[in-house]
Amino acid sequence: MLRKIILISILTLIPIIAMPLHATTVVNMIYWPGPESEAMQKVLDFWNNTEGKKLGIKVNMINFSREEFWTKQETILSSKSPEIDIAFVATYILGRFAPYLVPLKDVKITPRIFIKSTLESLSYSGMLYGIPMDVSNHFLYYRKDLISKLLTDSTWKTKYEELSKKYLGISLSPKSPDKWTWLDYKATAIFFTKKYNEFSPTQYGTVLQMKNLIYNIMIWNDTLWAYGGTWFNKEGKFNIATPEAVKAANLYKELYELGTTPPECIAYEYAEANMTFQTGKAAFMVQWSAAYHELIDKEKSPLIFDKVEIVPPPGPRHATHVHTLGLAVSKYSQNKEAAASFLKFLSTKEAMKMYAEAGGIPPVESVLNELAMTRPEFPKIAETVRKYGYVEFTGAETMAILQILANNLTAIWTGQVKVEDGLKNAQKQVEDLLRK
Amino acid sequence: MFGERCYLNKYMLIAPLTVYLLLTLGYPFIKAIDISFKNLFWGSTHTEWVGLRNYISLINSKGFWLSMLFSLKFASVSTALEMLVGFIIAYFFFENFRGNRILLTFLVIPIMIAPVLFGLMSRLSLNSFVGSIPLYLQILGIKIDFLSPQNIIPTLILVDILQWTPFVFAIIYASLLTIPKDIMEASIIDGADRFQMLFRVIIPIISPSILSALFLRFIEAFRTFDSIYAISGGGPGDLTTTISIFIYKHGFTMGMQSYASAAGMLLLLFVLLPTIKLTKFFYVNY
Repeated sequence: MLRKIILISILTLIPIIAMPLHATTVVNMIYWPGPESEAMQKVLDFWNNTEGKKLGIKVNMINFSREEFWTKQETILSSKSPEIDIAFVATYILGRFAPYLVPLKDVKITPRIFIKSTLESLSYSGMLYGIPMDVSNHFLYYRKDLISKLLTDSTWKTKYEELSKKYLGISLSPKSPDKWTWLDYKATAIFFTKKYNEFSPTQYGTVLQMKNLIYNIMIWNDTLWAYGGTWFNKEGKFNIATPEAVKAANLYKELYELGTTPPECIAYEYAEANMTFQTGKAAFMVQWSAAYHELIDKEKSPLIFDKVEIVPPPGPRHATHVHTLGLAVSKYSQNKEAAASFLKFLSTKEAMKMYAEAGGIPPVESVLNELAMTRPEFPKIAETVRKYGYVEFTGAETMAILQILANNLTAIWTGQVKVEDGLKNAQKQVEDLLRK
Repeated sequence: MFGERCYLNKYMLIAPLTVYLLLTLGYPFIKAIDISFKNLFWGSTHTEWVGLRNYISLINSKGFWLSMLFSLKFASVSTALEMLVGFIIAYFFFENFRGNRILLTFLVIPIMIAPVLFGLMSRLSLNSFVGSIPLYLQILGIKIDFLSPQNIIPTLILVDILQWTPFVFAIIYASLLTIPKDIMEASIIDGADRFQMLFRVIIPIISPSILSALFLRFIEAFRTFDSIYAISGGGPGDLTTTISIFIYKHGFTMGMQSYASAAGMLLLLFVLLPTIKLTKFFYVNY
């Protein structure tokens, strides 16, 4: 009897003792819920069933809700918790997260397939921290039916010239949107505003996103960059009280005061701008690349789905803000090597293609070009980001600078302060911030 | 001996709650005071003691005072209107009419909705192009841009009134139902007219409830965050920035944890004095 008990005990204990030898390393990865996480789930399923299985690495995706997403992750990382192995990062928050992350070269990852500006967007202090997964940029969205008529109809052309002469002091001729400067944007906005042109098929020429929100400032930055401005000058000093910034701020202010955009656009962000365009109330707008898919959808945009075209934002120097969402290894992870193995897999064309096919927008030009049939905007994203993409800053103060600009610019646009005073105020506030 | 045990038992009973409160409120509160004297910035690994620098900076900050002033104005106007409308509706229901129970159910629905959701719903329903309210007004020949800079403050107050008047109504209505019938009958026998009955009998009896509703609503309205943030984001400029939005933006969006903590402490100091005075008033008078 005793022998039997000992035998049963040994047989029971063997698998328990042997278990750690075959145990799988579980890597916890935080992700952003929505189309990005749905796409990632497909890549993850593939990894966990193939290469991950061979290596004994299982990647587990944890979706935090988008509400205060960054705050939640930042709190965990700043508490030095080893619970997160792979952190979700974005260009505008990278500098704040960098102290809690491992530079990719330290885990021997050198990604080569990504568009250069997107690698810059996840670099901080000269070091790359993240694998870029999804890229966001801006386009000038316009109604091709209306612009086509404007370019061909002589009555419309004459009216356009008259209006530009009257309100801008210079007689302009209509141009194709890919050749627009911001002056053409303004002239066309006036032309398509009913207040100035009773025959305009749209109530407003354009729709600006003017809510006091950091993401709206990213859109305004395209205007600043187009005029030759930047946040930091060549000496690395923050410099927003410049003639270029005055021009860019004035442009929004004038478009608003002229009534070429809905008066309530001071409360508009992404969704409202889309709604205005979808309901046929505006002829064109500068909007995020993510909107394209929605605007050409027959069910979501029945009035305009077949009339939408995109080109890079207006010049004189075409420029689009670029930010990427990416993945980085946490400094406090106890599974850094396993996490790095997964990130290495993600830096391959095979993984990125899988991600793109499942709904992601990876910044890999060859992958984006290959999917042109199913996602016509993809090659345009690749080209625009490569040719005109810029990254404002990736320092820890990026979000704070955006917020300061949002506070001051929204006051300027709505005439609460003079342009020069508002920009000087922003300059001083950012200088104080950077001094701290 | 029995009395001492009772005395000990009393403390034993409240001990779990006390420990819970000390951990969940006491520790964060003390930590917030500590942080307010440092220069903690998210993304910075180096934190040091800066004394009163954050407090001095806040006292000299135009944005801080503008947000305090806006909060005060917003709370005063919205609370006054909610009290007035809430009282009128409660008095109307007190008179009893057919179908009041169904109407009562509909009336309290807004309190059940999360303020941020109420804000988002309002943002959509007030939108000129897709909103239902501008559409109905247009049918009546009225064109209002609710979210334009000229109308944004009244719109935010209107949204607050729509959501929180039912709260005032519920408190006052419950209080009205507790008025003894014999007092009302006695006042009628004594020849009191409707006006006299309202101001000399009903309001004095329910005044503790009115003051409670006033106090609670004012404090809540003063620290409004969700609905305003969802509708206007505190803008344009600082136009609709409440003190809660000011603290949130500095603490979370901008990562200035110490600065935001100091702002929270100053806010606490400002509201502490009137709160103590009001509490004393309640103790003495009721």
